[in-house]
Amino acid sequence: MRNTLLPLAMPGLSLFLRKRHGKAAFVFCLQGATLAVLLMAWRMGTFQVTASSLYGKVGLAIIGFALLCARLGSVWSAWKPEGDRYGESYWTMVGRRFGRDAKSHTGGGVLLVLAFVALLVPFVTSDPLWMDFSATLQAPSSSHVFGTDMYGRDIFSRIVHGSRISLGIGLAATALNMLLGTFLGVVSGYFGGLADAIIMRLLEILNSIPFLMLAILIMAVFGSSTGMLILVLSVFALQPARIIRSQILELRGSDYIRAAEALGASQSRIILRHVLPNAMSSLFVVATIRLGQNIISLAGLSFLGLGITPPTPSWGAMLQEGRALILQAPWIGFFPGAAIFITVLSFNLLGDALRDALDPRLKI
Amino acid sequence: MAGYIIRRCLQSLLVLVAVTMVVFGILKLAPGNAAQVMAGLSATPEDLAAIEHRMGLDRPIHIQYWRFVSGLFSGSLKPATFPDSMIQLVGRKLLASVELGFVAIVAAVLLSIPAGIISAVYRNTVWDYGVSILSLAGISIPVFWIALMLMVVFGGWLKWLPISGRGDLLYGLSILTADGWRHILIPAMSLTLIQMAMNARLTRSCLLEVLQLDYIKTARSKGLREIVVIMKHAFRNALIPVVTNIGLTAGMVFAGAILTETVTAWPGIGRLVYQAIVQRDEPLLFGLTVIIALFYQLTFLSVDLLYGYLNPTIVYD
Repeated sequence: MRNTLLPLAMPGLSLFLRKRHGKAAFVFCLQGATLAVLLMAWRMGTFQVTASSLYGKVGLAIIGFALLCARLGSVWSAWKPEGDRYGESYWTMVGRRFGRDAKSHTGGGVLLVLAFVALLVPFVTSDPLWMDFSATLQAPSSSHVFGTDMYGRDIFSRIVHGSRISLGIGLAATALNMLLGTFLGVVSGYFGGLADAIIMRLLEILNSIPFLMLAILIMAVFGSSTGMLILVLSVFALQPARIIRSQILELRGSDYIRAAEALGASQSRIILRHVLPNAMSSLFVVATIRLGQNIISLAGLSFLGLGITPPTPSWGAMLQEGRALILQAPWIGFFPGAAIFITVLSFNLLGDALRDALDPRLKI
Repeated sequence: MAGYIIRRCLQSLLVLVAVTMVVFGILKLAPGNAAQVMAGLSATPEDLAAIEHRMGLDRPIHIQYWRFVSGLFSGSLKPATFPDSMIQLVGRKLLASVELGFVAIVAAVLLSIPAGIISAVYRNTVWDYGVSILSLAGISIPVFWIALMLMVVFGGWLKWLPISGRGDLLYGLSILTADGWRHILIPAMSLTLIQMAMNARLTRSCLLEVLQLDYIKTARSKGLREIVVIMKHAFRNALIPVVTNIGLTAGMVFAGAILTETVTAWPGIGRLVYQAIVQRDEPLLFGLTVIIALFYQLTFLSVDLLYGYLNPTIVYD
């Protein structure tokens, strides 16, 4: 009874009773997201979107599908039997360690909710640019969950739309950063010599100018655009190159690389099949933490008026708008900052859990 | 040792020269120049050419570069948007920045290292979880947001502290007066938080690693008290990465924390950098970058030398 019906009916409670607190937290997060989405769907009428419109239909379909996935996921998570631990591969072990960690559940759960919100909610929230001059500077209430700003725009709706920008630019910049960092790291670590010297000196020069100052300088000089933002966030913070380089230097002398060389493997094969997969684990961790940092830097630039320009809703620019009225209407500044904090914290939690699972000795 | 220091200094000098070139290059690559800003939209091409000639913007690029560099050292390079000379202006702002950074870093070191030690020694207890969660939160908070929230709480609601600025003080040290302390608290608190979080995490992970080593086991089996083992044997070796981190961030903090100073209107280098960038004040920006890079190199150098004291097995060659 307790082992069959309870996981089906109440997966979160069942996990909690069996002392799987991390998994239980994850399931509760999923259920919280489900509730939030249901709440949105229920209040769709107040946001001028009806179920008969195209947006409404697509939105409802996605919501239904997401709810189903969330339910199936939590039931699976509660029901899944414990596997045999002997003879498992490295990646299974990593998966198990990762899955057991409360940090990965909390961070992953929150990020899942955020991704959910970023994908879905623009269908059901009101227009983030719509100004209601009869309702300016309203404190949080039931009609405006997070209040309104000085133009009467709904802050909740702006934050939800801003999440797409933050996550989108953050992801793009991190991906580009990783690609570039890996490339430079491989070149300088594997080939050494002149290329190594040049790349290392270049990184040293970049390191002796504060990143934010360089970013501000370039954004101010060349004007702000999305492409420029992604470029600045990815090109001028190249720590990944250093990490990859040191990993490769460590691996280069190892016997299995020599064996591959002796067998006549080509250089590209050695790099792609033997060197990079071993450097991967630290790269993952760096990428996750970098993502959080990129979101903070993006918000910082927008806060200074050099990133995303108003009226496009972005968390940093909203904070800037809230700054002037911080004593009269603190909610304008509080909520976007809290959104940044929660997002970055989740990425850091995930990064920590990933590091513990992949290689606890990594110090990043 | 002396040879090492000389070589290190030469290396730093090279990096500094490269930094000046990079910044000068970025400024010159930009569309438009200071003369256009000065002349305004209604200026005729002749006016523009006259202003460009007066500012030396029509000369070849390497001569302009040399004028910037030599002017910086001879004092003939003047900020375009401030009446003071570069040395006066920067000296005054530098004092405010260094003072703020000093308070923030001392507070961070005093609070974070004990927290990291407790967290490592009492591993997997409530204390450890508390420190870990707090420090993870600390590195995730955007500094400009926490500064705003501190202003709301301490300045707006409780009315304990003034919400921004540095008071009437223009030249002196604010940590010498009670009013100065009241002003410095909010920016210092927001700066400290991140430093603290990073140092506590680093102290914890390094100490945990050292505590697993054989010589710690030996020290314990000799019958030494646990506090002696941790403080005398383990801590000193665990300190090296922590010192590196403090050094690397100290350069940034002393040379001006751009966001913190802008938000709290603290009249330091960071805020000056922001003003210079917004107003396109090229000479000032150039001077500031060189000074900040100089600070960075100085802290890198002192961290390198501190290594030798902390770990006598390091040989400089």
